[in-house]
Amino acid sequence: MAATPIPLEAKGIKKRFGDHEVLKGISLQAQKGDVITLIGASGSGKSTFLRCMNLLEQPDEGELIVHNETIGFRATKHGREPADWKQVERIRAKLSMVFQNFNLWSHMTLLENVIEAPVNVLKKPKKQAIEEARALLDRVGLLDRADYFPTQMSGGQQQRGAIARALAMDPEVMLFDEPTSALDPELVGDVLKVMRDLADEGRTMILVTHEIAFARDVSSQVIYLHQGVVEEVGAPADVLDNPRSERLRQFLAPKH
Amino acid sequence: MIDLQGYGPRLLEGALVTVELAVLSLILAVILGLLTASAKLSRNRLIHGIGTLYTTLVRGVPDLVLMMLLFYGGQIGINMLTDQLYYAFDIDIFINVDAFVAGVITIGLIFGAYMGETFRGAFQSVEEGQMEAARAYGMSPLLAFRRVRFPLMMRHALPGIGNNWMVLLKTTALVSIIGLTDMVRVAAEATKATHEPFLFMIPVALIYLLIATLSEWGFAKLTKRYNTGFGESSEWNN
Repeated sequence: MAATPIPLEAKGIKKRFGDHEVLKGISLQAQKGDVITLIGASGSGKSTFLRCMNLLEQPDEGELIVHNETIGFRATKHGREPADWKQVERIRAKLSMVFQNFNLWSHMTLLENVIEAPVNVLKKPKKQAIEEARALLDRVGLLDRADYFPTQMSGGQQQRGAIARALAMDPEVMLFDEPTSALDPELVGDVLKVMRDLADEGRTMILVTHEIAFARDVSSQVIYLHQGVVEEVGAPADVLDNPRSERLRQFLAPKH
Repeated sequence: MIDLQGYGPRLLEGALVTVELAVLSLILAVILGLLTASAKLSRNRLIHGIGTLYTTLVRGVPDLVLMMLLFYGGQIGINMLTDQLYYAFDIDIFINVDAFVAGVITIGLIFGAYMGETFRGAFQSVEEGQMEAARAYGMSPLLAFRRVRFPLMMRHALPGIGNNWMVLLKTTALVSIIGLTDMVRVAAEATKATHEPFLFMIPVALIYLLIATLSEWGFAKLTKRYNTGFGESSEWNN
C-alpha cells in the first residue's frame, strides 16, 4: 500500500508548567478521516495537549509531525522552542482551531472573519475567498448573518461561524477545544450537528469535549486522559461502553 | 481682508508651521509610543528597563528644558560626531540642527512617552483569545498586530491619543523659543512692533481653537470607526 501522509502525529508529548507536569508523554496518530476524541476531567491535560499540537503551547519534549513535516525545535535557556517560526505559522495554517470561547475577531463582520486568514495568510484572491466563505456560511446556516458582527450573534451562531472560519483554511486537521462548553444547552445541538456533518464527510478532527454521547457517535477513537497520562484508548464502544478502569467508570457515571 | 496691518499672510504661514509641526510630532509620538508600550510589556528586562527609563526621564523633565537640551545639546553632539568621522574616516560633513527638525524630535520624544502609557493600557485591554486566534490561523506576529491587535486596541487608545494631541498642539508654541517662526512667534513679533496684543493674539487663539475643533470632529469619526462591532445594541446574548 502506498504511504499516504499521516495528517498529524504526536509522539511522547510532555509539558510542564513550573513544577507541575501537565502532560507526561502522550502520543496520538490521526489518519485521514479520523475523529479522535479526548476526554477526561478538568486538569487532565486534554486541552493543553490539543494546544500543543498547533504550538499555542510549546511541548517540552516529544515530536510533532504534520503531513510528513516534522516540527524542528531548538534548546534555549528557558527550555525548548520552535527552531523556525515560519514553519510553525505554515503548520498552524493547516490545523484550524475552534475555540471554547469562539474567539471570532470582534472588529470584523462574520464574512470578514471567514476570509481573513485565507486572504492574508494563504494569499487567496479576495473574490475567490468571499465566494468560498459565502458557501461555507450557507453550509453552517449563517449566510443571512454574513454582515453581522460577533457581538450581534448568539453563542451558537458565533461557534458555527468559527467553524466556517476554520473550514475556509481547508485544513489538514481540525482541532476543537471544548467547542460547546461555553454554550447554553439549547444551542449545543446546532453546533454538534455541524460537527457531525464534518465527521461524516471525512474531515480529520481532534476534539476535546464533555459531550460523551456525541463522542460515542462520531469518534473513530477515544482517548481518556488522567493527570497527563493516557489511561484508556480505543474504539468508542470499548472505551465508553466497557471502561476497564474504575476511574473512567466513575468519570462516565454521574452524568450519563 | 485679514491684513492685520500687513502681518496677516505671515501669521497664516506661521499657522501652517504650527500644523506641520504638530502633525509630524504626532506621527513620531505614535511610533515611539507603540515601541515604548511594547518595550514596557516585554519580558526582556533590558528592553523593559529602557522603556521605563525613557518615560521616567521625559515625564520628569520640563518640556522646555528638554527642547533646549536637544536643540543646543544636539548640535554639539552632532558636531562631535562629525568631527570623529572626519578624523577617523576623512569624511567631511556638517549637519546643522534645524529648528523645525529639533522641534519635531523634541515634541515627538515628549509625547512618545505619554503615548506609551496610553498604548500600554490599550494593548492590555485586547482579549488574549483574539490574538490567540490570530496565531492559531498562521498569522506572523506583524500580521497579527496589524490585523488584530492594532484595530482592537485603537478603541481603547483613541480617547488618550485625542487628549495627548490637544496638549501636543499647544506645546508646539514652545518652539518659538528656539527660533522657529510658528504663529505664536509671528504674533509676538507683531505685538512688539505695533503694541496691539489683542489684534494678534486673539486671531492666534482662534486658529488654535479652530484646529482643536476640527481635531475633535476627526477623532469622533475615528472613534466611530474603531467602535464598529462594539455597538451598544449588541450585548452578548448566548
